[in-house]
Amino acid sequence: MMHLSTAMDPPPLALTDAHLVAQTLAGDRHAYGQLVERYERVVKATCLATLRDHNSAADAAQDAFIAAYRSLRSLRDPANFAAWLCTIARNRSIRLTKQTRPPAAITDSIASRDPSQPDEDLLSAVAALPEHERIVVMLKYFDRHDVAAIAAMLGRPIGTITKQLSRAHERLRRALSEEKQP
Amino acid sequence: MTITELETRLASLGQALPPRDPTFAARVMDNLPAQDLIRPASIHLFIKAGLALAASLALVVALWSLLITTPEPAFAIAELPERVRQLNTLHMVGLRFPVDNSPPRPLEYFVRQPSDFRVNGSLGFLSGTGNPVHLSSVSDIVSTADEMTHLEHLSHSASIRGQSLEQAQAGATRQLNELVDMLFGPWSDYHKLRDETLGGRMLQVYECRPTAQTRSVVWVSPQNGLPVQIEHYSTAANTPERLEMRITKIAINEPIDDDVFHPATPPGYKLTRLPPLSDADVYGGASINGYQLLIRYVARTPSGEIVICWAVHNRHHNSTTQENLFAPNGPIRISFTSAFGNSLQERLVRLGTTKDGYTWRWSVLHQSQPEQNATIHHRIDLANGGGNAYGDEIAAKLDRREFDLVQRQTLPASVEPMSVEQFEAAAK
Repeated sequence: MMHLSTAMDPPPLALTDAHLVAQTLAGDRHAYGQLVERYERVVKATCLATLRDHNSAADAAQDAFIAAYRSLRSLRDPANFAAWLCTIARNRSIRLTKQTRPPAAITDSIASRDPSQPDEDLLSAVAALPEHERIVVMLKYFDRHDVAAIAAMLGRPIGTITKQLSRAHERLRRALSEEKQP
Repeated sequence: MTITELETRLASLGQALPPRDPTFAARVMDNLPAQDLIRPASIHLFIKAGLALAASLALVVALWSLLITTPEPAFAIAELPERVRQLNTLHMVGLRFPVDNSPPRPLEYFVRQPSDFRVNGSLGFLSGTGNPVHLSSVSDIVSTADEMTHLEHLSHSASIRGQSLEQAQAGATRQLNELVDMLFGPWSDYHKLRDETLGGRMLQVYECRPTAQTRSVVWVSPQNGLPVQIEHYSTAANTPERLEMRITKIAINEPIDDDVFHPATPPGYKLTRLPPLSDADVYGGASINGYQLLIRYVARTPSGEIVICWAVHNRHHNSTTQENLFAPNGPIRISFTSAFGNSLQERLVRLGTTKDGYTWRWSVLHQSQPEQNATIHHRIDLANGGGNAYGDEIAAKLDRREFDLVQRQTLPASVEPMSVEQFEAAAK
């Protein structure tokens, strides 16, 4: 049967997460390496939002990737890999926080923000987004992927990604304006 | 803040984060476990060959059944609840009929394994007296991997609270189990009523009795053995049976849009952000004169025993200390009974105080005569005859993951969780 692609289909820029998960489960460790490279910054940012320390975040991220690999067979929906991975990363970070001292602030305040330091309020707001929106925002702004590439990775229509992105924008604007209020 | 300003801030945040570390992926790969995640190829081939053989046999049997014998269902009707529990996604739409004969109210139910569910409307259970629950609220509860949102449409309020993935997964499993038990009962007997054409499809209609007061009529597809329509009836004391709920759409394993699990808070609703779900949160319980029975967990094991984790909170001392509460001259008496009024005997297996100060009792509620019912009544009587309070819980099918999780939450950190089998053995 001929496949008719539509304008809303994700373009074939990259293998989808589901593909890479399937290849990993079939024994291809290199495929998992691609997933690690794809989500390195996303997972580190997720950990940083909780741990507020770059070194701890890097360690927690590494730990999360290894834990995800061990449990990969339990992932019911491979297309949901990114959200599942980030949940693991966040849970491990929260556990680490409880085991160690309370997280320190990365910056003092919005007013005194050092441009070379992460914007803590924004990072927290991103971390509080619903999981699918959070992944899309992180891939777009932290890893600078365009919408088409994100759609290809996540195996979702471009329209869905655009919708999630605009919903995330709205949530972020609301969260940041609430914080500004005294 | 404009979208452009937000995007600029997001881009700056991206730049401020550390760049990709070229050695990171290699470090992760070096630390992965040595064994592959796949089954050995020989097992793969064996499974494939087995599946092919099974498929061929199934085809031959199906053809034989069609040509030679009277058509029989290709599934076991008694396993209907189990088939529903195994679904990846479930979407049900229906109507609930209030007891006061006011207009029916819509209900919608979604489950997406492993961690998401949404209950929009009201799914009440029979109360301890056998009287149907009156609809006093119209709730929309949404639970995802990291938070639970509760929209209350009568009071125009909303709350959001964080939860862990483990809590979310346990919650989704519990919701599905409770729904299945409510609709089909844990040990239901099915009786075929008739064949019926519905929407152009020939369906088989079965009846089952989930509890003493309820009856379900289920339209089942003979092709896959899954429900297509359900009617749920209840009987209150001294009143005729009445239709309580009709489910008219049941979509199974169809993708559910993410939007379903991320509802926007309607304008004008008062939104409260609650702290993350605490390990000490409980399902509820009867309360009288400063004593409240806290039920943290109740479930039914595969062999039919009732496992319960509970405590009594004494408001006068703000504690859940057990001393005096169960002494012969103590201030209260606590009893558990089945839906039929038969006494359930508590067999204490474990007792522990957590760091938050709660003392939890892990027990088996032994049924001297096994009943086909999952409703557990509990009751507190003041020893001085000053009154009593009661409530009930549904003992849904035990989920091992949740059983393990709640043990870790309610026992001291040094105590290892027991398996279901160990627990049952210890109770004997």
